Formats: sequence, structure tokens, C-alpha cells
Amino acid sequence: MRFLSLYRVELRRLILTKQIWLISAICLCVPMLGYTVYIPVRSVTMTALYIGNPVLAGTAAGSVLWAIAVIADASRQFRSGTDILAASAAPPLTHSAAKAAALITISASVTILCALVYLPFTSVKLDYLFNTGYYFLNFLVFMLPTWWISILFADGFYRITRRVELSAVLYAALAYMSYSRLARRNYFLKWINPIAYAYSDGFPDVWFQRMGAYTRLVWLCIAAGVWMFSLICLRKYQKGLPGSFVRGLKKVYLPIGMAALITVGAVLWNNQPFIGNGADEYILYDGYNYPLNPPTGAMTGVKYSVKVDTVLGTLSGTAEYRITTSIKGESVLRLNAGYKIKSITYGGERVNFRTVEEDINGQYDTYFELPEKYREKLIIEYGGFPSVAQCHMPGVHNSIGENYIYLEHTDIVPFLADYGLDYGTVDFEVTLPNTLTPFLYFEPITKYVQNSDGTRTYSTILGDTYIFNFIVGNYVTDTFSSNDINFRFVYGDVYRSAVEEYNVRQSICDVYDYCTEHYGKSPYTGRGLFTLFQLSSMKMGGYATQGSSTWFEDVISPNTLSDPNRGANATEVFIHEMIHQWWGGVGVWCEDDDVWSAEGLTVYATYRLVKEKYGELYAKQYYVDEWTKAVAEQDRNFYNRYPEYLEKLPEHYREQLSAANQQTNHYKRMPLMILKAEKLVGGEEKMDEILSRIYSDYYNRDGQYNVTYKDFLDYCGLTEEDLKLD
Amino acid sequence: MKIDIDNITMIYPSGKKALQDITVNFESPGFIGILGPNGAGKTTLMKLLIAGLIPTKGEILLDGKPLLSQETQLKAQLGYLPQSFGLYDELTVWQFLDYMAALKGVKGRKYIDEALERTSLMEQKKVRIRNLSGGQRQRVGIAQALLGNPQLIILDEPTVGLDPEERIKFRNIFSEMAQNKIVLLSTHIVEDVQAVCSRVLVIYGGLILYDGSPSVLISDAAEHVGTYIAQAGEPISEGCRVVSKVNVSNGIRCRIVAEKLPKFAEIAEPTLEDAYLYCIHKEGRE
Repeated sequence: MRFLSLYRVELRRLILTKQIWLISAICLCVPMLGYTVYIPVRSVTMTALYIGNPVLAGTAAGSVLWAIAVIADASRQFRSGTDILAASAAPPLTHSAAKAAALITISASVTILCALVYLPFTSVKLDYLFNTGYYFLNFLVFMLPTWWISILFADGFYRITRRVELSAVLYAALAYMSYSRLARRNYFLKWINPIAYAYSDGFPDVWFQRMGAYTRLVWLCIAAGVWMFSLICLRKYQKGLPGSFVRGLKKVYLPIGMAALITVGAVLWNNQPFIGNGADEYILYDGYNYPLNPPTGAMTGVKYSVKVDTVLGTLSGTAEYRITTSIKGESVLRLNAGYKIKSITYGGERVNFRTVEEDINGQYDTYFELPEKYREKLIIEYGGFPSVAQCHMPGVHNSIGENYIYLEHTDIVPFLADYGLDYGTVDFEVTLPNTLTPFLYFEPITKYVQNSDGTRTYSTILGDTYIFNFIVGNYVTDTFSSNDINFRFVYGDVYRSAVEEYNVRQSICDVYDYCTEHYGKSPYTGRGLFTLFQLSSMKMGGYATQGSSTWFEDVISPNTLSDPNRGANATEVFIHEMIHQWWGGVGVWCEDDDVWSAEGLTVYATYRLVKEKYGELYAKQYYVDEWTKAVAEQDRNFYNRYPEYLEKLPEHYREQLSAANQQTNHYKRMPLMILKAEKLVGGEEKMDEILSRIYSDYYNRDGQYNVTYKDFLDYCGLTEEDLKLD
Repeated sequence: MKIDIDNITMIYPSGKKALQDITVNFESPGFIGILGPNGAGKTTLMKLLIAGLIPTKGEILLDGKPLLSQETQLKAQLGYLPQSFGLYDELTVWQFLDYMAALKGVKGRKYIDEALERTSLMEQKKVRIRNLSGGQRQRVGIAQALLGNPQLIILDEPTVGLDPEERIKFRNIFSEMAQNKIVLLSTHIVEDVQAVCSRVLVIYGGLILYDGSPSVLISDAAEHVGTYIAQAGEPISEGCRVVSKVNVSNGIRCRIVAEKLPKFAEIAEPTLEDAYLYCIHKEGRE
């Protein structure tokens, strides 16, 4: 009761304080920074632009503002002497708690007000993409708890130091940590700027929100722990910090509470299920896609039964193998690092196993040894929350949500490395709690049974055991034809109008026709079906596989398609990905080196198509000029001109420069060199002939698909010297 | 209510000895004036009584129990006006008193209205504190100390900033309150103490020099207070302490206190101020 009455009057006092009004007013404005200068979300979907960035901008800037408000108010009470009256009247611990609670209440009210203020504008901007629940979720998951964390830290720091400048320095150091190099890969350190690299319009996903909520919980525990520590340091009897601390310790519930909160935070941090503990960089190693060892075991079939909980984001499954030849000695199975093996049984007998928690691209290896006596059935039960490999961030690879699921290979089923890829008959069934269409390797699974609990169990038979991807979303499937090819165009239901408005189908046909005409028939023409599949923006970038091209969501986001300034940077990305069906990806492979790669040919081909489609001026502006500018910038770079100084740079910057150089070489320099070659060989037609020859020669070659730079020069009759750029 | 201060010594971390072996008791009803020059230890004593400090030695008992173990009970019965304090300028007078009432755990608007009436702030109750004069702010400070009918009222220079008329009024209020409580009044204005206090403590250099009724203190000073006419530039006689100097037609009328008055001085009727100065003076401390 005492707390409530103190809380009531503190709340009123703060509400009547001008500083609080000022801070609240600024807090209502700072999300606007997300429209212009603070752009943490890497996708350019409408949701990213009008929800993600503003909320995250408001979260970070508002946190700092609340910290200022807290420190200023505490300092004002101390300087003016109002704290003397308060200390003589109220129990200081209860009073401190009431003050913090009042500040937390006000910040919560400002969060809600903030959400309401931006609601009309956002809903108008997003139009049919707007989802009220998702909109408020972002405010509640990111902004609200982060402001609370900030308040607790600031209040705690001031109580510990009793000095404005020291509190500010401590807070600034903590905030800086969120943006430091240290936090670049250790995402949990980003307490003030929670990561949310992607926002999807068509496939609303809550992966980042889940992680945001989890990290907020961790930091709330830590901040509350620091705040409790500050209560131990509460100055009493005019004693200094050490004296007050020693006296504070006598209230045993304070150190116990502090220790409990910090411990809970540390345990949650240590056991976070979101990101694996593997390397930052993707590790190329034998056996990621293929058996680690030459297959020595054999089986006649396997049945995978997988159940997905879209609310918790977890998966549980059973793999039932029918073994014909078992492995002698130790076998290894590989599974997503977030999953736990529940049991391995062989002919009904439990088999011991050990999991080595060394994350390789988001997977752990589990070792087990089968009994010598032959039994037929090997059953592996597993499940958990699929973690994302460190090297896959920020493009989240796997995700299970109510509206979208994206899983690959060992995110779904175990991979038995010693049994090769031929598992015989592979039955796959998956139980989903909704009516969204699942796709396996871009093929819809249409066969299902309706379960009594409202779920559906879909089943199919796989061609091999390797599950390239499993996608569930609210998709529309369009089929249409162009000349001799049928297209299956699968995209998010919300993009129906955008696909119509921007005539995306026609663009697809244009690419196909252009490439067929200029280079030759697509490798998949004979198969008769070409799948174009839109991925969620959660999965950064597009990729091409046999008979399928994917592209990331942003490419057909209304925001991208209607922005004339984007030109080659976005609108034509799906054209680029489709062209990979001819160059690189699954068409003719090109050997990568520092400059030469399939990307150069693909970018050049995209430029040519765009030139034909939109005219020379457009192509020059968005392609040739961009290439020239980027190459000139690269050549102007001091460290590129004087590489002897590179060693003086920290490794991190050297790596950055190297990555930037490779990007420029592949996507800008090489196309420019091909353009130069085009002029030297006699123009576009001649170059088309050369490329067509290369395509037909190399596509049909057995075992030697790689076109090297030297091959290209030989076909053109040019030398490296000829293509050097001035 | 009963407060027993048992042989307490207070030494600050800086080494300054603020109080030395003080033993004193307060029992309700009682209106105790505390007199002493700056740095005598008055404020330290008050802070000890509100549990704002822990004595280096000795113990304070509240109704027979250690004060520090009774902090919550003490605060529930305490009305405290510190020498310097701040108010929340953004609040109205009423809101501030409501705020303080909540801090004290005092429930009921009647206590706020009562304090407002006693301190003549009823008309200003809706006025924001930032718009009050210095005297009105002081009255708000007094009003918050009166909230909830506290059993122990500690007032450190409460009448600073008040005009003479208000001072008299507040003296009377304090006097009324003391009928069933303990009121400790620390002030430089000896006149205030003389008017209302039934008991006076004279503190100097951390020691209690006098603890008793003002009349006894005054009577102790009888024949130690005198006046004489001095000429400009004439030195003060050795052993005398000048209480006041007034220019008159034939020179300067000096009022002095001394253990032994000079022969040329005419004996005067002592006031409490004379007695207080004599008390300090006779110990040879000034």
C-alpha cells in the first residue's frame, strides 16, 4: 500500500515535470529519424521502411533521452535538497522503487502514444500490407523494454555515483558497447539497438521479434540487477559509497535479488537458442552437402516425420531408417545446432551417443556406435529451436513462424554422413498447424490428411535424402508460358497487385526470351518448367538452382518497383537472378578469381537486356555510369594505389577493403571490361555471338563447365592487356 | 514519546568532532529550544535524531528501543523541517503537500487542509510553488512538517524568511503543537525561544552547556549583564562580551555580559539573549 501511494504521487510529480514533457515530446519525434538517417534494417520492404526503421530509431534515441531524463531528475532532487525532505519521510528503498516504477509507467505510456501517433501515417503508407498486431508488436518488443532497460541503468548509475558526469560516462560507455566492434558479431551486446535486419511484407516473420524479446529479457534482468546493486549503494547516514555499500549488504534480500537477476540474465544469455556458436565466416569443408566419408553403410528407405510448432518456433521429428548394411564403429549424424537428439534406438535398443558442440555452419555432429548384431530399424528422435549459424546472420537462414517457415536440410532432418545420399525410398511427412501451403524444394506438397486437432499432415516422397529447402508461406502460384517454356511463378499473396501493376510476368518472359535468343536455350527448357520463387526478405539475396530462380522479397516490393531511382540496384535483381540460369549458378559455370566470375557476365547480360527494354540512356545511367564511378573510386582509394601501406591497417579494415574490392571487381569492373571487349570485337552483335558460342560449347561439356578468364579472352581474340581499364 | 540520548559522540569522517559525550532526554509534552552558534553541533544533533546519521559512540533510544531499529516508526511520527531544503517547483502547494503526505504515509485530505490552514496557505493551495515568495516557500516547508499530526517535530531555523508578524504566528502554532508532543526548535533567533520554549539547550563546541528552563538560564545571568556609555574608538574592557551597541547623544551605549562587570557598568535586567551569551562567555569559550 505504501508503495502504491508513493508510486501515485511520484507519477503525478513526474507528469507535472517540464523535463519529462520535453523528453516525451522528443521521444514522439525520434522515430522520424528512421525515415531518413537511421536505417538499421537492411531490407527495403514497406514494413522495414515504415515500421522497422522508425521503431528501431525511436528505440535507440528514446533510450538515450530517457536516460537523460532520469539522471537529470535525480540530480535535480539532489541539488535542490528535495531528497532531504523525502529521506526524512519515506523508506528510501520503497521510495526508489516507486520512482523507478513511475518512470517506467510514463515511458510505457509514451511508447503507446508513440505507436498511436504513427499509426495513421503507417497504415496509409502500408495500405493492404498493414497488420495492426504486427505494428504494435514491434513497439512492445523493441521500444518499450529497451526504454525500461535504459531507465534502470541510468537510475542505477546515478544512485551508485551520485554524480551526473560519472553516470553519463557510464551510460555512454554502455551505449557505445552496443555499436562497438565487439557487438558486430556478438548480437546480444546490442542492448540499445536490437538487431532486426529484415522485415517482410509478404511473409510476416517474428524471428527478429522473438530474438528481440529474448535479448530484452536478458538485458532487463541485467539492468534490474544493476539497479538492485544501486540500492545496496544507496547513501545513508551521510556515509560514502563503501560505507553505504557495507550497510546495504545487511539487507540480505538486496544482494540476493541482485545476484538472482544477474544470474538469470547470464543463464539466459548463455543458453540463447537463436544464434550458433560457430565461426563468423562460412566454412567450406567436405561433407557439408556430401558424405564426410565414403559411404560404407546402406539402407533401403527412410521415413521422416516432422512436426512444427509455429507458436514456439520449434520443430520435433523422427527419422526412421531401414538399414541393410550398418556401419562398423562410430557413425556420425549432423543436425542443426539448436536441436537436441532425444534418443537413438536400434531395433528398439537405446544407443549411446555424444554430441560435439562445435558449431560448423550452424550444425553439430553427434557420434554413435551401433551394436554389432544386425537389426533393421534405426530411429532417431530429435527436436528444438533451430538456431541460425553465425555466418548466416544477418540474412536469417532458418525460421519457424506462424506465417512463414524456411528450413534447409539439417534444419529439418538428420544427415547420416556414412550412408551416402541414396537412402532408398524417402518418405517425408510434416504436420503443420495451419493451412498454408508447404513447398519442398520449390515444389508444393499437395497431399495431406486433416487431423482432428486442426492440423494437417502433408506427405510426399523425396527424390533423394537431401532436402534443399522447406518453405511454408502464404503463396500464390501463377503458371504461364512463353514460347517453349512453362513458368511457375510463386510469390507472396500480398504482391498480387504489384505483380499485376508492374507487369512482372512480362519481364520474366522478356528475360527468358532475350537469353534464349542471345545465348541459347535454357538448360531447363527441355524439362518444360521454370520455377521462379519469391523468398522472404528474412533470407537475404536470391539464388539459382536447377530449374529454379529465387529472389529476395524486396525485389517485387511496391516500394522498390515504384522507385525510379533504384534502377539496376533493385528492380532488375530478379532479372539478374534469372540470367544466372544461363551464366553461373546452374548454367555455364565460370571460374572465380579476383576479377573474373559469373557475376560479371550476368551483370553485363542484365545491362544489355535493360538497354533493349528501357533504352540506352537508362542503361547508361544505371549501369555503365555506376560501374565507371565505382571503378574510379576503387582506383582512387589510397590503399589500392599504395598497397604497401595496407599492412599498417588493422586486420578488420583490411578485410573490409578486400571484400569491397572483390565486390567492385565482380559486379562493376568485370562488366566494364566486357563492355570494352564488346567494342574491341566489333560491337554488341559480335559479343553476343561470342557469348552464345561460349554458352553452347561449355554447357554441353562433360565435367568441365568452368569458363576461365583466359577462355573468355581466347574466344574474343583479346589479351589481358587489351581489357585493362584506363 | 520519549527520546533518550545516551552519551553520544559524533565524529565526521573528516575528523571533525561535532558532538562529545552528550546525554540528554526529551519527553512529550515538551518544547525545547536549541541555541548555539554556527558549528556548535545543533544540526548534527538534529540529524542524529531523524536517523540521518549514526553516532560514532553512544546510543539514541526511542521509547526505550534503539532509534535505528525504529526508523520506520520514527519517520511515521516525525515532522522535520531542515535548515535548507528544496521543493518541487512544478507542483502546486496542495500537490506538494499531498506528495509529502504520501511519503510520510499520511492518509486523508484533512491533514493537508489542516496544515494549509495552520500555515495560512489555503489561498495559495493551487498556486505553483515556483510562483511563491521566499516566505511562502518557508511556510510550505513548515506545513509539510506539520502533516499528519506528528509526535516529534524537529524544526531547524523555521522562521528564517518570515516577516515579524508571521514569526509570532508560527511561534504560537509551535507552542500549541507542543502541548502533547516533542518539539525541537533550533534557531538563531533567541527571541523565538524565549517566547515559547519551556526548556532550552545551549550547545557549544559539541557540548551541552546548559539544559534547563529559560528562566533559570536568565536568572543565572543576573548581575552579569550591564550597560555603559563608551566613546568612539574606546577599547572594550577585558573579560567583557558586547551584546549590543546603540549610538546615543553622549556616546555609544554598550550592553555587555561578563563574569565580573566593570565598576563603571550599570547592572541591567538580563534577557535570554544576554543569558545565552553569558552562558557561552562564562565558560571562557568566547
